[in-house]
Amino acid sequence: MARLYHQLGHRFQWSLSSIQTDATGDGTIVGPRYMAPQKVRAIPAALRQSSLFDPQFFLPNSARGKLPEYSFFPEVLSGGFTTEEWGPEMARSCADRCLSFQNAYEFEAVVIPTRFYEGMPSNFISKQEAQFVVPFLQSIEASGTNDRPVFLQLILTDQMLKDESYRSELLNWVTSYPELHGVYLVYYVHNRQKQITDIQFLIGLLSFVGAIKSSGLSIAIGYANTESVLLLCAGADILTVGTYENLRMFNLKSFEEPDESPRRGPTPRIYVPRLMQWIDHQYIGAIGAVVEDLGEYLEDNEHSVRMFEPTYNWHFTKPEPYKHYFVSFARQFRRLNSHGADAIVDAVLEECRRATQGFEELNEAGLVFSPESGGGHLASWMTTLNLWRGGR
Amino acid sequence: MSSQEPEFRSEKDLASVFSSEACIRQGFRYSGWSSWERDELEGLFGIPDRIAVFWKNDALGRRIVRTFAFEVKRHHWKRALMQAYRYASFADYSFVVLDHAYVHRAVAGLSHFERANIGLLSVRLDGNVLWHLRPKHRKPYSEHMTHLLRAALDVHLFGEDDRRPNSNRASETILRVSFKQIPIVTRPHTIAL
Repeated sequence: MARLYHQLGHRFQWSLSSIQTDATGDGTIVGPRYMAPQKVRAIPAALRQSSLFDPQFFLPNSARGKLPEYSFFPEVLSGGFTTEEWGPEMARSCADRCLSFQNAYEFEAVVIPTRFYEGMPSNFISKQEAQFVVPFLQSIEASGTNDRPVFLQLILTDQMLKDESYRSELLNWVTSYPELHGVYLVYYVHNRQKQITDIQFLIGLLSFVGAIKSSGLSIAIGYANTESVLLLCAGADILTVGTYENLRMFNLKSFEEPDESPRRGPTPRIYVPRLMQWIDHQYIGAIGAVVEDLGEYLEDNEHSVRMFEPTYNWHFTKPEPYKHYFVSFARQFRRLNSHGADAIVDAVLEECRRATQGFEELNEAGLVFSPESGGGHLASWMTTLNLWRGGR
Repeated sequence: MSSQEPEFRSEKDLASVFSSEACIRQGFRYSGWSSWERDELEGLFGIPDRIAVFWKNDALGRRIVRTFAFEVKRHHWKRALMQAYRYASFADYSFVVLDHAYVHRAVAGLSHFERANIGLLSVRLDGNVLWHLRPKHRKPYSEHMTHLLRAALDVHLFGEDDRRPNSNRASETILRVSFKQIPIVTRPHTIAL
């Protein structure tokens, strides 16, 4: 059975309180970008023991936010990271410190970090090996802590996952390490919309996840949005929810040096499980005017009740839309997750059909959604599942 | 494109000849109403190309206010419809305004406008406005947006304080963003029917 973890980042307290109060998660993925070491320490030990630590080395030369507080972060350790200077000694020192931190805080597994590479570099594997994989495996061996599960982090671009031979190469590489127990996968989709609609990418992703599982490794998937329901079909072991979009759609913006241009806060959206979509909150009044039971659409919970009080001030800094999402998505996730491996694809397809029907009824009643709030992704998702199942 | 109909060179040209006040006065037969219009009012759900406000007092001295929002496009009617539907979150009436040379495409899809209760207008090069669909009055679907707009209008159009129980900081944002240092001009009763 898949487990649902919270990807922690900005406003990580909302996630922690949701897990504790509403039981919306089985664990967390902790990241140092927004959490100082003392905040990591403050996570209850029992929760840490069912959590992974993602060292977030995506841009090793850019120590933003709380990253400077971690001595193992490449930029901090080397006093100015460059690939040329990142030799075996530096890499090993980084691995020793990072491993020691992960062990000290008793996370459920050790994560071997990675950095981000754009496109499909031909030397992807050799670079990962030299910079992180080999030094970390040596460090694990030397520390005598090799009884703990080890996960290898992979950040794969849409190009990598769409290319069958590149995928095979990666699979062969990952499965060549007997020390590994699992993969912690993060995918990056170039120019993505709010929901992923690229069928070729989604099929590549499901195929990759399915192949990892078939090889006997576990797979945790970070920074996932509602496409998690598709990944359930491929047998993912850990999937994630998160507050802001940068925790549900991986990108590097919050790890890069900020530019000078003014930044706008995100539009508050509400997750509507009946429609499998995050909808701009302004549309909720229009939906409420045409459906018999808005509560059925929203899967009402105490957070949604608060949101619909007349004095509620919709703003992206308010926790209720996110806490409502955690509760409603966790319910949907667990309902779908309760189906066995043979039945889950049909269950997810049925959920997508029901959502499509919901959008059709709303369109018929005169609602005109913008693409970001509409149901355009559902046809892609159903096609993906049908083709992927047919090709297995 | 219609082969005979001369077309606007740009959306800006189209917007410049379109008078929402005159159009609404004519289409809704509003006599005795004061009115005000503004381009690109920010801080709401979408940025309407134009917003027009009409008001008058009833027999008991209560102010009646009607708000109209317009999305002006030369030809992309589906995108315009989506935008105009956003404006229905705060406006009593919402319209798509197209170049008359291209309106036949939207007229072919008039059922979409009917279902969404969004008005459809087209403008000829000489400024003549043609009505293809007049929407019914409908309460805006977002209380929050309606409140923001009304609070902003109360302060800047009617000179009333918005410090009332439901007032919030967001309405102040709208005020700052959209009404800053721009003189409000009302045009009362200029058209006799």
